[in-house]
Amino acid sequence: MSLLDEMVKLFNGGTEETPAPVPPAANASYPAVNLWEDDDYVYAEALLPGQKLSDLEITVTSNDSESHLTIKGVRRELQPMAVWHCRERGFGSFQRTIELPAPMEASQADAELDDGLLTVKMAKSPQDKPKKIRVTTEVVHPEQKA
Amino acid sequence: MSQINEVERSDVEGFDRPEYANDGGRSIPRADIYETTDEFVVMCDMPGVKPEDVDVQYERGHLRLSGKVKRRRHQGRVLDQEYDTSNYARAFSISSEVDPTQIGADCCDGVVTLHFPKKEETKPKQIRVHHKG
Repeated sequence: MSLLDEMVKLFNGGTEETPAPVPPAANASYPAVNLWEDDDYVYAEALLPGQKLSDLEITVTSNDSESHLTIKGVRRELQPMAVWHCRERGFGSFQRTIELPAPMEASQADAELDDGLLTVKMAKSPQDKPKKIRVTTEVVHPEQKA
Repeated sequence: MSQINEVERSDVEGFDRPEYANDGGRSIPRADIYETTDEFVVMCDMPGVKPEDVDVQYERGHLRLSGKVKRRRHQGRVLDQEYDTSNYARAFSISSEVDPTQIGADCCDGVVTLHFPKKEETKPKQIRVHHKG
């Protein structure tokens, strides 16, 4: 067995804990996303290591019945001519669309990307925000009833 | 034996108890490993890790890489959670073909890149062919 054969076998075999290769193009759930909300906004955070914000296309669409966030981009292949011994990170184009829980103000969304973490902050449509209803109690005194 | 291999967790002291352990445990970062004429390169995805929070330690042929992720506190209600915030750790065994004094590391956009320059005597050499006659 040659030196290279041995190395490839070792890495392809992997261990139970070693992450399996996940090429973005073949994985409909890339990138992984966490989603949360407060009264005014819905927030999405996505794992996008190695990505620049300028290489991403982030779109929020919304109408009365449904809202979506779409994250689209390309993970470039580096050093295609090198001798590869292990490829777990994946490369290629990806697109993911996530259904949002509420109508959004599509024009009011901000995105920032720091250290491979994308955060998108999307403002809820005013009609969907929880409204505070003031409850007033009219106190009726017994003598007034008489 | 190969030049750079992942080691069993128990081979490196402290690997099962990373320095930055938190409630979220640890993640094993996905890695790419490639080789050029001059060096081996290992790239690890570690989103959320800042350069100052990366720790690389080399000792007796073993390299241990770990990264601390600052726990992000989200206000409000969680709607969907596909991943946990956890620190990263992974170890590699390095062959004697690598010059350990020249190992380098950088971190950019959540990707840590490790460079393992080859010793001069192990690099491929061009043999000049003389014309005889």
